[in-house]
Amino acid sequence: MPALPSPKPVVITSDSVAFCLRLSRVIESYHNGALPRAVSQLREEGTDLCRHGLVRPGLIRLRRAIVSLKRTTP
Amino acid sequence: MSKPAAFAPASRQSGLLGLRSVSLRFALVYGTLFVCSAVLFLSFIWWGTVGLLEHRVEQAITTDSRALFNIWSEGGPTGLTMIIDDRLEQDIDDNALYLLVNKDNKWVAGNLAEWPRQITINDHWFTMPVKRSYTEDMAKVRAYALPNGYRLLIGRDISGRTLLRKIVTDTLLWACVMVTLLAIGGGWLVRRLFRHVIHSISRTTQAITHGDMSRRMPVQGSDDELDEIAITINEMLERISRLMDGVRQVSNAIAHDLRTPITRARTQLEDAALHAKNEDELRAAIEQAVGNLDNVTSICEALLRIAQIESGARRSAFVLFDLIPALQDVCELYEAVAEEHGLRFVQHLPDHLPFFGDRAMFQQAVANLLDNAIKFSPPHGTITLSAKVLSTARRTDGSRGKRLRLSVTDEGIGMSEADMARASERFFRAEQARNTPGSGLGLSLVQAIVQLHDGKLQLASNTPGLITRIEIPLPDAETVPAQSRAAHP
Ligand SMILES: Nc1ncnc2c1ncn2[C@@H]1O[C@H](COP(=O)(O)OP(=O)(O)O)[C@@H](O)[C@H]1O
Ligand SMILES: [Mg+2]
Repeated sequence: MPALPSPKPVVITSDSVAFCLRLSRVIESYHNGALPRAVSQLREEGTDLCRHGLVRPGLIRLRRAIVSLKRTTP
Repeated sequence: MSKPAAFAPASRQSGLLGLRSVSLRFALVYGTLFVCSAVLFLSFIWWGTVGLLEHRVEQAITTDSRALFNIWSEGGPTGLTMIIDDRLEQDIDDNALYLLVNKDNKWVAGNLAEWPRQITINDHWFTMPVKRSYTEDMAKVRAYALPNGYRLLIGRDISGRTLLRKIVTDTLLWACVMVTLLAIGGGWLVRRLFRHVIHSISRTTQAITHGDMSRRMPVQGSDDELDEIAITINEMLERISRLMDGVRQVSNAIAHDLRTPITRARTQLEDAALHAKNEDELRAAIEQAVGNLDNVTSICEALLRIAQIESGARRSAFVLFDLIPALQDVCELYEAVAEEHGLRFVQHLPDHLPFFGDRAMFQQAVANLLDNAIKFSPPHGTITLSAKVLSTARRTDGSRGKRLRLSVTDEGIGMSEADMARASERFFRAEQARNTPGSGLGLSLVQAIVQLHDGKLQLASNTPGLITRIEIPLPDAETVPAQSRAAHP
């Protein structure tokens, strides 16, 4: 592995509140908002966490919600 | 040791510090072996964990890239953008990194803000820092070229793995340190043990070199190899001192016992030369002197004979023969002598007794025993010669075999326990035997002959008198060499 000359870190854009909100909107768009209870709960929790600055735990919940939606939607 | 022992005295000193010490080399070899095997073992663990983790990350990225290429060939940049968004939305592990840029290096899709400047080559693994909201992590990435100048970067955040890797590496490094300490400790212990053993051997041997033949190696009683060495050395010393004692005793005895008849002969001749009045007296003196000198010759012959027998050279003359006629020949001779001394001579012999050995020598041994029995018995006693086959005896190798037991019993003056123990020494004669003729070599010869036949000579009290017993293992029919049976008609 070649060593890096001057490692200037690249910003990960998915680690942001904006991305949180985007995921939240994606969830909403499924079934026109008629979501299973568990999914909507995950979404609320996730959005809440993001708003309070806990972006990564929030993201995990939102992603879980999306995955479970994908699984139930053919 | 690489240097020749040209500086022998100097080597002693440097041996304490340098590599000339065997124990130190031993310890070093032990330590090196220990560390080498431990390092080998730990590297296996390292590759099995950390190496495997890295490999898994690379594999995941490669698989991912293939899937994305397929999407590109079907849906172009739009299709790929959708899929990348999808992946990012569902990335529960929260470690996926994607970036798609067009030919102007402009962002098209993905979760990286810009193309990292250091990544200039495609299809190469890079590890680079990435910035999250609060932390800075490490990521493993690989760039791929797509048609129309598009470029795709796929990566994984490996900080979780970095942590694991750090833990494993730290643990293994500590293990290395511990192993090294253990190796040093173990080496030190090995060295001490080794030195202890060597020193105890060399202390004993040095003492012996300086003349203290009574020193022996200490035996721990643990029955291990060291004890085995100690026991072997002790046995060797035992035998050496026994041989030395034997030689000393024999040479003393020879000097003493040969001097007496020679001095006597000299005195007689001198006396005759000075005082003889006529030829007859002179002749008588000379005859006496010749008799004494004959005695000297026979002693020398007997000594030579014993030495020859003890060397074991006569064993090649062994044949298979019937012992009974051989014994009867001897008895015939001694019956007459016994009668002369007013003694009764009884024989208990079986009809046949096949025996493997030297016929003439065995007859000589029995004759010596009978001679003693007659010589040391007052008149009207009984002398018994008996031969028996004992079949229940165990041989030294554990097999069952037959033994011959031949005993000569008398009712004479007998011997004390202490004298019995020394009876077969050369020139030994008990105090009571001083007045009887003899040179003290009879039983030595018997002993040598019996030993040549792998047998044992035992003396026991008969109250009154003495029992002399010879026990010799008899041959199994199969073990007798065929040619020696054929040699005897
Ligand atoms: N049958 C015996 N009875 C008593 N003492 C014996 C008898 N046989 C041997 N000894 C003792 O053992 C000594 C050694 O015997 P041996 O070697 O035959 O020598 P030697 O017959 O020349 O005296 C004898 O001097 C005697 O003291
Ligand atoms: Mg004798």
